[in-house]
Amino acid sequence: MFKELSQLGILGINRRIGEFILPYNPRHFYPLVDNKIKTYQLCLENGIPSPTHYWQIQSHGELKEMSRQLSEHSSFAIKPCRGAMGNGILIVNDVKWQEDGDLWSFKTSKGDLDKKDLEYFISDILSGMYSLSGLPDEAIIQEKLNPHPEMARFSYRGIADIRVIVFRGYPVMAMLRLPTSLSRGRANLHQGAVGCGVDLTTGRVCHAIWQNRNITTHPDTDEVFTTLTLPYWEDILTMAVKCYAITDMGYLGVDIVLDEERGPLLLEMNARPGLSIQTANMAGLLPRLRLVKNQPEKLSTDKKVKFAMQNFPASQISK
Amino acid sequence: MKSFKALLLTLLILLPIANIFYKVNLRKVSFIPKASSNEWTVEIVYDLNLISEDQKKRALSLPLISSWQNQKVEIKKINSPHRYNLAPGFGSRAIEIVPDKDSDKELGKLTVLASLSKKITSPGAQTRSKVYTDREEIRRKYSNQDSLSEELKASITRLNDQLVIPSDDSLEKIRKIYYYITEEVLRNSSIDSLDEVLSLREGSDWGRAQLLTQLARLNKIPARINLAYRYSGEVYKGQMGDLKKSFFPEVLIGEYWYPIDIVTNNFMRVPEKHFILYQDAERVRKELKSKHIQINIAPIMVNKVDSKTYQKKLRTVSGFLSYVSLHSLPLNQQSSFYIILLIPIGTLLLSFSRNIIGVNSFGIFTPIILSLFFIETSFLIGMAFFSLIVVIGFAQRFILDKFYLLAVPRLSILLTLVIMVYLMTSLIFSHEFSLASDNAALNYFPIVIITIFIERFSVTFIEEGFKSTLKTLMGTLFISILCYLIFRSEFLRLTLFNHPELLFAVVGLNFIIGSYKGYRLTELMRFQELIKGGHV
Repeated sequence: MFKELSQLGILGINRRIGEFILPYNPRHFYPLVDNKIKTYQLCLENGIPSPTHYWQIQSHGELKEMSRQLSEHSSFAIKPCRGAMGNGILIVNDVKWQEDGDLWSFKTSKGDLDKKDLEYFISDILSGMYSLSGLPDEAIIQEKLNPHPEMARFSYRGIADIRVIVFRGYPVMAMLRLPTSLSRGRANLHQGAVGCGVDLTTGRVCHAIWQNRNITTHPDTDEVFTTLTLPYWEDILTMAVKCYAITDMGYLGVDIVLDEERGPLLLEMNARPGLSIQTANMAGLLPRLRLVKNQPEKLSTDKKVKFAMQNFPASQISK
Repeated sequence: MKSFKALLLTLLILLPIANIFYKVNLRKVSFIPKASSNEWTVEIVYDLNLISEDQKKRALSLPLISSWQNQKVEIKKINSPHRYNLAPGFGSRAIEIVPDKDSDKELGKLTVLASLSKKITSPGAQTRSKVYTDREEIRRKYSNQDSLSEELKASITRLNDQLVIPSDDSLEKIRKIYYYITEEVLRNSSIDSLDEVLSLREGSDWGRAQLLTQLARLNKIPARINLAYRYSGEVYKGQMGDLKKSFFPEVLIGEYWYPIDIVTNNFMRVPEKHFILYQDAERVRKELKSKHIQINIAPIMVNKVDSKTYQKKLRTVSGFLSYVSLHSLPLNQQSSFYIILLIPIGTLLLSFSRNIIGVNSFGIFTPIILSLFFIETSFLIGMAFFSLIVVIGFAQRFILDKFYLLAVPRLSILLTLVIMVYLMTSLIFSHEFSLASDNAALNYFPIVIITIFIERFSVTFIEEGFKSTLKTLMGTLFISILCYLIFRSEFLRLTLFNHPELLFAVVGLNFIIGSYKGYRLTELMRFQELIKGGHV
């Protein structure tokens, strides 16, 4: 029954956990990737560009400082520090401040909200409403990113991100996730975003799925996916490889966004990257993972990037 | 590492089986000990005000439940507004009252509280009962057909002539009558009177029992009708489920009374799962018809199996085995373990559903708690409760969200709401079940789990949408129904209780599932597109 799956080299959930996540990702390193504040610090220390944190909120009491902390910014994103699957993220735009420094008006990704709603939202994050474990969490107010024009073509609101799976420091597969109206601007496949497989050799989109179906054009913008080649491709792969070096996580999902001005930025990392990337690429992960298993681990970043570009081209490019 | 794992697995799974084999096959300890008695409280309320005037003219004599065959009745308490005596009557015992005639006061209610214990008989156990007292007197009493009108008597005689040959012996005659009634006279609960049963060939339990009795008496075989109660529930659990009034006749042949069960069709065998309230139903029925007798029955602490004998046998085999046997625990703890031992089986099923089938659920405990809840109450009540909880989950998001409540007070409100639903469910279904069992731990536990479940469930709903929530909800239900179906097995419960070493095997099986790295069944669906379009 499972013969076809194993012939295609598809990685299943059980094997992902038992053969890759548990043996290669030491539990005590998890906070480095699950906790966005720790990830941010790690990026700062190692010179990996990532979205700037304006303010990090630890307790409900700090909320009254909101106006003072944010008065210089006209847009920002609110995120839970230990969130998952893009849950609990709020984008705030067009913020106008009163003369006394109080919040005047703004627009959000969740429609019209007032200041009280905003405080309540942050308070929910602090209570752990959106955290992986349900335990109390911290909230982050982050720089709002502007999508690269090449990506904006393929996005409905929101911002696209690039997921690279890195095994023992070698990029093995990549996927571009594009927000749609169905996903309400979020780049999460379960919520209705488009997943595009990426040819590791060129950075060109080779195939796309949406709602578990093959598609060729973006459902909202009608642009043809295969006309997209990701800019900064080598930089993206290099950034992904560096993430392995700073976290020591053997099986890692690296999420990178392309900002209009700043180029590739590390958005977050994931110690349990999902498996839909295989459907997006129309290829199984297992053969690639097995190939990398036999490669030397201590190799320069450049060589690892070269290896990936050489060995993992798209298996097919859909028309 | 691999061979160590294999060794560990073998030990975990084989040792318990070897131990059971040793106990059962080599030392001849029974696999499951024999069931012992069940106990119930019986409360009989006689509302003396409802007794008809002409009955009151006689001295008040009321039927009383008594010990009989496999049942033992102990009168615990009699609450009487008047002086009373216990005397023979109604085929067993009666309570006689002498009301204060001069007083204008209402007669009031008389309450009898008794405990009834029933030995569970194995099939083929003794079914007849010997008559020790004055047999002639009894023969006369139960051969009496004076109550029949001449017309009725004539038509019964006509029927009898078609059924039996005068040369048949008593047993042969009664057998023919039995076959006639079970095969030719249909059951119809609305037909009570004898002449209607005769003309329509349909009748209630009472009507058919009467016909059998009168036919027997016509053939000079003394016969009587027992008023019994049948229960349908699990005997071991002490739950009787539906309690149904039922009548079964007995015939006196030689010096023995032989039961004839025309409801579940057992010739000369005592019907299972019943107890007898009164043996002279013809007299008692009049009293019952006037609705002044109310009977309430509730299970008391049930001793599920005969722990004493089992322990004794085990002690002869091994002091250690008898020391670690759960039968050595006090009774109330024993009944907790019957349920607690199911939890590991539930988690095993959950592991299987999650890792091999690929069904998701809200948390680990929710499905198991839910299935235990189904077991403790009933599937329908459990589902009703669950649906209410889901409704609360949806509603609280829409209502509580508007008030900007902080997380802990909000959770506290939810917990209180859950308890209110719990109370409501208890009140609505109080006549059928009590949610609050003797097991305090099992009672408080689910409330907390269910509250957390509501919170997680409503967050999932907001974050991941209706479809995803519904899928996980269905997964949760699927696992709990699966657990419920398996937990219902009395055999499983008794096996685990008698051989708790099987828990090692459960650990072993979890080891196997935990090491499974193959695909999950649901992944066939998930990667369908890839299978269709992929290249090898």
